Amino acid sequence: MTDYILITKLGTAEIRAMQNMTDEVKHHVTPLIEITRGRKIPSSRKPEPEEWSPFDKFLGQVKEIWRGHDVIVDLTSWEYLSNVTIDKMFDYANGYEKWRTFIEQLDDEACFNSITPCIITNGEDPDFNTNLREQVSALCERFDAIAYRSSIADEMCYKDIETIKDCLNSKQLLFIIDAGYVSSISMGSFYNKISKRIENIKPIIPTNTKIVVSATSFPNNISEIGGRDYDEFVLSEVKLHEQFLGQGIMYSDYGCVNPQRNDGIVMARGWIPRIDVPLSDRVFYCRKRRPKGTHKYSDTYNEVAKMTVAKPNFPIDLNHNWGIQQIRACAGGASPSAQPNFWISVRMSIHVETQVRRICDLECCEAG
Amino acid sequence: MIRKNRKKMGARGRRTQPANDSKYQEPELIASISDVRRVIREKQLYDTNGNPELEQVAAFYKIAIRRELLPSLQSGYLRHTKEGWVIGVNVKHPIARQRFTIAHELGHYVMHRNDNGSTDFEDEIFFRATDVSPMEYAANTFAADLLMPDDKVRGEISGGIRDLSVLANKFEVSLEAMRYKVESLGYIIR
Repeated sequence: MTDYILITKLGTAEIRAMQNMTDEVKHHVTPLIEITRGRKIPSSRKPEPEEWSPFDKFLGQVKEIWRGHDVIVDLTSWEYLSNVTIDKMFDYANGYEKWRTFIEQLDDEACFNSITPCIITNGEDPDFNTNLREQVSALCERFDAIAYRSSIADEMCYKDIETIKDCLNSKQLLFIIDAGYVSSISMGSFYNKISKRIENIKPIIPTNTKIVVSATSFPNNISEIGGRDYDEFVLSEVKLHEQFLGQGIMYSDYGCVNPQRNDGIVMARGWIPRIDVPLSDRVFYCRKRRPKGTHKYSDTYNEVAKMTVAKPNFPIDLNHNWGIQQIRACAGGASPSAQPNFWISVRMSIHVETQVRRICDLECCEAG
Repeated sequence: MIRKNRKKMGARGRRTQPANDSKYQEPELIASISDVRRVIREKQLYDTNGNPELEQVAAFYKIAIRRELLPSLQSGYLRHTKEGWVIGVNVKHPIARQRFTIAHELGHYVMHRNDNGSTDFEDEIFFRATDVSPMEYAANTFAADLLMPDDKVRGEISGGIRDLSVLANKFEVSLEAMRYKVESLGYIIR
């Protein structure tokens, strides 16, 4: 496993970014694939009761991108990102047998070098501990490592770890403290809580457990926090990681993507073309409204791209990066895309490579 | 009349947090509306109508509430004084509006306060007029989500309430606030 765990949902933007990652970048990244529903099915074609596309197509793409790599696999716990198939896998009967069957079948396909399955839990289970034990025991028979994703918002991990550790059978546990979205204002509050959780959990987990801290700080709606044409904000996930340096804590983030997905929202009045550029510890963006009466977005994106590459902090050492190439091409008059979704891929592409470099530099410093 | 336009997906169940286990104490996370909702749920900070009891919520976060005579256009403020954080609310405004103001200021506290506890963060212009700054937008959204949670509003509509004023009374908010919420949930108001 690498030192950078990238949490990614099965979204078009994320998949596009990953498709354009170089092998060198992928070599330093372990994806945590959070299985989410597909896109909304148009009403006229809707079969009942399912109204979301199956995730198979997206999962198929992920298999090709990460073929031969180590991956972690989880089911989304966001209800609005679920579908009937995913819901069924949360059936707790016989130690979450449906989930285990799914993950075992995925393993049988042998497309990944290794799979680390996440433990899933269902709060409605009246026999919670029994099914949790059965799930963990069964997964540990098949897989060399399993993961427990602990939301920072709830404190159930202490009870769960007491149950889990007795069933590990010497297999490795990845304990992921998932802080989700962390704004720079709230970073202090998150740091205090994460620190305490690490302090509390260390004495009760097996010694070979890897502790991971995951966060993201890209806002769901930049209008809520940012300036009109330009602004920059700190990457809380990086600042948190820096505060835990030297403690053996692994880094994880969401690829500069907010955990909340907005694909259900129709932007009836359009959007403001914006391009985001992640740097090592912050992100800056440029944006500009379309001129009144203009319907096309591409010209405005060209202008925004020109503004972006003209900024003094625009990276000059990432010219081979796909995301940077798209921005430069757009600044040169090309029209890569006018969809916000495309520019999310651009942002994610730049961010992941920048973080890979940062982490590699840190490792060199530690080794040196 | 409100017409239904949405459908809710399945559930994972909700586990009950263990009662304060002195062995594994963690500091409270105050960063988002989810944290505030969790506190309300765990501490049962509801009024007799089943809505969040805002005075108790503020007290949990050690925020004092002062009901004062303020200029008509000012709804309230959030200040850090030497005695601690204070939310001021205009006592001349209708009760429903005062509730929204307190929720709005709570939103500023959760999302915008300066964590080093200094008096650097103090703003007396937190009033809801036509100001649409990003922070005001965020605090308004926070207040709306706190007082009128999406699932509860949908639940009441699905349960048969189609009259906006009845809905507004039920959630102890203004008609205007409820109209905005219902429309944002995708319902069509005739």
